[in-house]
Amino acid sequence: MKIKYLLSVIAIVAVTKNSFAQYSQDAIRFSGGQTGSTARIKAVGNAGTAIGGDLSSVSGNPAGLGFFTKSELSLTPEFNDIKVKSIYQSTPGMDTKTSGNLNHAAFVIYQQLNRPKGADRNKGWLSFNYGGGYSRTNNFYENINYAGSNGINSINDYYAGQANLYGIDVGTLAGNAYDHNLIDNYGTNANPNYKSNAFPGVDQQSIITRTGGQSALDFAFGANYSNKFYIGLGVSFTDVRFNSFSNFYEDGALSVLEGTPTPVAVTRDYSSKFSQDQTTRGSGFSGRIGAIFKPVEAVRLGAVINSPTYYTIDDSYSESLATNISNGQRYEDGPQNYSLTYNMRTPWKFAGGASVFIKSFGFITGDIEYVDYSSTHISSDADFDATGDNASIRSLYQSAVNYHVGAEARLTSFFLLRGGYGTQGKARRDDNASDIKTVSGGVGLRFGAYYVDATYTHATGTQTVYPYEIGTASPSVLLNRTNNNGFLTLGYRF
Amino acid sequence: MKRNLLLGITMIGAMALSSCSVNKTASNQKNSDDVYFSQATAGESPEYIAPKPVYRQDEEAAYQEEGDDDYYYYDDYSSRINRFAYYSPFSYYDNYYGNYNPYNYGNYGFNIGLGYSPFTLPYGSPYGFYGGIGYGYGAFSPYAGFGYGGYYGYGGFGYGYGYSPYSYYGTGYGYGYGGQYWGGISANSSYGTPRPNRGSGSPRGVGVGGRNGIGYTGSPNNGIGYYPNRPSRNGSNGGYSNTRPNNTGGYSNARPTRGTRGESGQSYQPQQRPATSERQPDRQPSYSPPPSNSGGGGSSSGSSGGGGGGGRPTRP
Repeated sequence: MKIKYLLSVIAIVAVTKNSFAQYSQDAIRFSGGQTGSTARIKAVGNAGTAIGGDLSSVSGNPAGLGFFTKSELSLTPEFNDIKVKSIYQSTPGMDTKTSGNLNHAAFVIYQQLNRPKGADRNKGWLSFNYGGGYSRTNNFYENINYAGSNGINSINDYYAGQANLYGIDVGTLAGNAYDHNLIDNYGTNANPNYKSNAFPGVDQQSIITRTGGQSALDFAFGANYSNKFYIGLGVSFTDVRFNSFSNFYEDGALSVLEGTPTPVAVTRDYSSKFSQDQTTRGSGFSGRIGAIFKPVEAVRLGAVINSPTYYTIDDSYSESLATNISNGQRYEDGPQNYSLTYNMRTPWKFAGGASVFIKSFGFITGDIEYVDYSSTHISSDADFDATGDNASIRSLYQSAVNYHVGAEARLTSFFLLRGGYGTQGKARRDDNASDIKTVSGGVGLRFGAYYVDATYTHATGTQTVYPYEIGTASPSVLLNRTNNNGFLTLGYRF
Repeated sequence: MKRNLLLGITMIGAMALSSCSVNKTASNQKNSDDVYFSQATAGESPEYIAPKPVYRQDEEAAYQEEGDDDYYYYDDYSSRINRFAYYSPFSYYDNYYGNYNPYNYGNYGFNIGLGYSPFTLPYGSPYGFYGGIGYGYGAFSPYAGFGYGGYYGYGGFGYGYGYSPYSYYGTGYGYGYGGQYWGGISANSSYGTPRPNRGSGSPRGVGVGGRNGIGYTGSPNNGIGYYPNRPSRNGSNGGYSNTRPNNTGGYSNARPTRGTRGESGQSYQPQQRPATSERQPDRQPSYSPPPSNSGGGGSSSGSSGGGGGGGRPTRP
């Protein structure tokens, strides 16, 4: 008997440990994002690996800094319009959000190198340029709103499942659901079997508000060898801010046990709200090395290796449950707070690209990035066992390839026209997400030492999410995201 | 058609304008875009006019130069500096020590320091990386030095302290950004309570049709707590604890619970909503009287079956 009890305790502990696998989705979220760039490079599909001479090099391929023959600085504010269309239980929905931010700011200091008198001043190391900058690499702003009638299941089924797995201890979600009469024990005291009290046919709505983003403070240098070979190094101090506030509402009818001493089941209407609030902050560090080679004057080949970003993440999560029942009862539990500080590292990122210049009339550029999201890793420590998270990262995510192509036409010495296209490969192995496709276009103006670049990008992608997970019966929501962004770079050469 | 014409005229006009007077300045500086016109040239090292024996032999000249002692002094100094730094590819020297040159970038070093803090701070894990960025002034150090980071991390600022092995006075200081104490860390009142699992975003697994794919452990009926209308089991089964450890310590279950439906003869889970139930779908449900009878055998399209027996029995 004692051994049996011990075994069951071990089993519960094992299951409990496994259940703490919730950070994998965040880890992948923080491993995504775009290479920071100016409006000019964004307009050509963000294919800047093999360009050089643009301030995007500070955050992209540092070798590109070697192209500068003057010092330069620029500032790029952005405007974002984020639209999320949803389909839940065949019911369409939509929500939008607009935000503005500083997207990119960078400077480069041109430093000419010296050669003894009489030496060839076009051969050897010609310049050593260094720069710094800020770039915003990921945008988490979005509002999501979906609603529909669910005739098959209820979020109470999820609570019941939790109760069957972990019991209904005070303070747990399942315990709250039991207290709120959302679930009952349909078995016996000896053999509990929790089930939903809801009659099939409930109305559900989810409202989610997200803000935040990822940014990097970059420092880099690039050196120029004979105007043919360029090499650069860079470091980034990265910052994560992610806030997500979500409410899941469910309205329906319950079978509630009422009366003493012999309770009987009475049908009551109910409305419940499950709230999840998450505030995440983190900072990290990464490095990168890049090179650009010009085999002939018209062709540039570039490559960058980005090291993993080592993040320390502070995560504050809380959840609460509130229920109104038409017999006059009101219940409110929570917020139950969970705070954790954990370390993670993002995958390596490899990028290669090529560009072809048609004298000074324009260029065509393209690059390919490779990221293996399944190598994202969360560290375990004394407080936290990340085994489950890492297992689910390995099994649910995959390597992805991002493509970027673009072209610039230098119509006159002061007017430039650009267009581009890019796809960001999906990280998920399942079909719950699509590639993100971005179309871009822009113009550039040059006024002596000053320049202005304006860019518009249009990015689309779909994702399937689940408000609660109850196996194959989990209700799914199709989210269709559209981001319309505007970028304006103001630059000055000195 | 008319609009197309207008558009065309506008475009042609813009092109024509752009090719003439407006951008005179721009066209004068045709090499103003390093994306296209990056032709760097190296600078020329300044010559160091060290006193040569030839001068010494020329008495007159020597005499004239001797009149300027300072010149010699500084010149000597710079030639000494040459010994350890002349061959630097990254260096730039002025002819005269101490000469003020506003364009002398060479006197500034760029340092990057990265430190690892072994200190324990309150409310924190004791380990943290601190990045320090220095843009240091070094009298003779034009080198970009990758330095060591300092070990001081307080309140979210790393104190990066760059040291360049090639610099003479070129120690750069940087205030680092980074480390885990940056930002609102102190908002966490307690550490190390992982939040509960609310799903991996892939409840149906990776495989086709939600079958046992990768990542989805267990059979489809056994997902994250999904028990589709499973009849209550009787009797014992091994392994998993069916009895909640009431009052056995360890679990705080010392609160009153309702009687189980299984024991009070009401063990049918609600299967079908009474058709007559009038429900307000707002979030403040008003009371609606329970229907007297749900009717037998009706099956709504959404009902997932199992358990059988049609509607719930009428309760008094």
